[in-house]
Amino acid sequence: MTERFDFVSELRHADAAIAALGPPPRLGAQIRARLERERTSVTWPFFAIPFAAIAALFVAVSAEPPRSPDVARFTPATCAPASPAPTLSLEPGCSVQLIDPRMKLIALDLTELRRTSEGFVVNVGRVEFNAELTATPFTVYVATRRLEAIAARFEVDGDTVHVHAGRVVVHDGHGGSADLAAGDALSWAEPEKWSNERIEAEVRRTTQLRVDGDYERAVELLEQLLASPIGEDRAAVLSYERASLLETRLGAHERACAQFEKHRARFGRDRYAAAVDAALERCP
Amino acid sequence: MSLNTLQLAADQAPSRTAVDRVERLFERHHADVYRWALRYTAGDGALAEDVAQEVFVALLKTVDRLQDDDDLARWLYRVTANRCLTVLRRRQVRTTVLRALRVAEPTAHVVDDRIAARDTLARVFEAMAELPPKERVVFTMLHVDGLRHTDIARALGYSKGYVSKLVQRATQRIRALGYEVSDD
Repeated sequence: MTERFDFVSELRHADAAIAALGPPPRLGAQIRARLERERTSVTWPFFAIPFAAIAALFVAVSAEPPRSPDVARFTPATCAPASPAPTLSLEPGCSVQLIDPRMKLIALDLTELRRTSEGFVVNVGRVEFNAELTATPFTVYVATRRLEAIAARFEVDGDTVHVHAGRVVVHDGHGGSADLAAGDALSWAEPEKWSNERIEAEVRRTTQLRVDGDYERAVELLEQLLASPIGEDRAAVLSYERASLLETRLGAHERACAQFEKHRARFGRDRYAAAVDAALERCP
Repeated sequence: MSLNTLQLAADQAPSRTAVDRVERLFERHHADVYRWALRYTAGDGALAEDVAQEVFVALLKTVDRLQDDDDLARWLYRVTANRCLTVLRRRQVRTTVLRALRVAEPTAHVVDDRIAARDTLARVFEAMAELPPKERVVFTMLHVDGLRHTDIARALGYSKGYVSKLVQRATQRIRALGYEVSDD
């Protein structure tokens, strides 16, 4: 005769054992990171928008008729030389002196830029960068292209770069590059930016893959998304998510480190900077 | 950044109060949420972690509409169960019971307890994995949390009759595995 356990008491015992053990220590950190990502991934965090930009936004909203309701502007009169704002929206003629006094930029049309630790991301507009007098390499991201400028003065106009002085190397993100000298110009066909609906659908796919435990495919999909025209704010969220999945779910430490490195290079001191720093310290 | 984006941010971004509240609830309840999820996933630790994350993300988006923290605790309980049912429908459950016991180096005096707990957990989760997800959730709510059929029905959006049927089927399956099921 076999012993017959009372299942209900076993189940309660098991539940008490789980409660006594508690969740894995990493779970709290994972959920906090996820909440932070979700909180900021809806859009750019509202509280991070500098006061001047918010004020300009309300002006733009209330003006009749609105000249261009899509951009919260800095006019030449309000261009602060040392503005700490992470994102700069500049009217034509607005000139910004960078920290290195030998480098500056001038908006040639309505322009929106975001700072990174290495240089700038041009979100929209036409802008001239002048780093002619310094040998410090200077990086500018334009959609899917990365521009490395060395002692250069150059103009970015949508998906075209004109080099007026020095040297600019344009990397296409797939291993290809073009080396431009003074007088050269390069245009590329930038794919049309995806609609919010399409981006949301793709992000939902990654979420589903996570839920299904198919982390390898989630990581692949995130890589494809990062090479797609989805906007830099969204890309930063997905980039960090990819690195986290590689590290915590797949235990693929080398790949995780590579993604954290890419994140730092592309997004600089963004909202994940502290977490990226900590992750890179764990790397060999 | 477009104006529409900014307006969307203002409308959709959780308020500071909401974020603080979620942080407070997270501290208080994340271990419970994980434990509930671990039960319903029959010990699949990775899946339970994912569910716990999803539940708190959902909370962040909903917290402004919930009144007090008691409501929120009930909400977390209900959403965890429903979230587990959703993911289990799509996923073959894998029992990874020992993950639950993977903790820092045990001291000598707790080793025996831990081995005993591991054996119990393994046995229980193995049996629970034999139950379809709905039966597993209902059975646990009834016997571990002591909920009435009516409360279970309300939490899961089922009829009371359907809950009774699920309990009955689960009980039959557990008995078929060689266990007694007490009717307390």
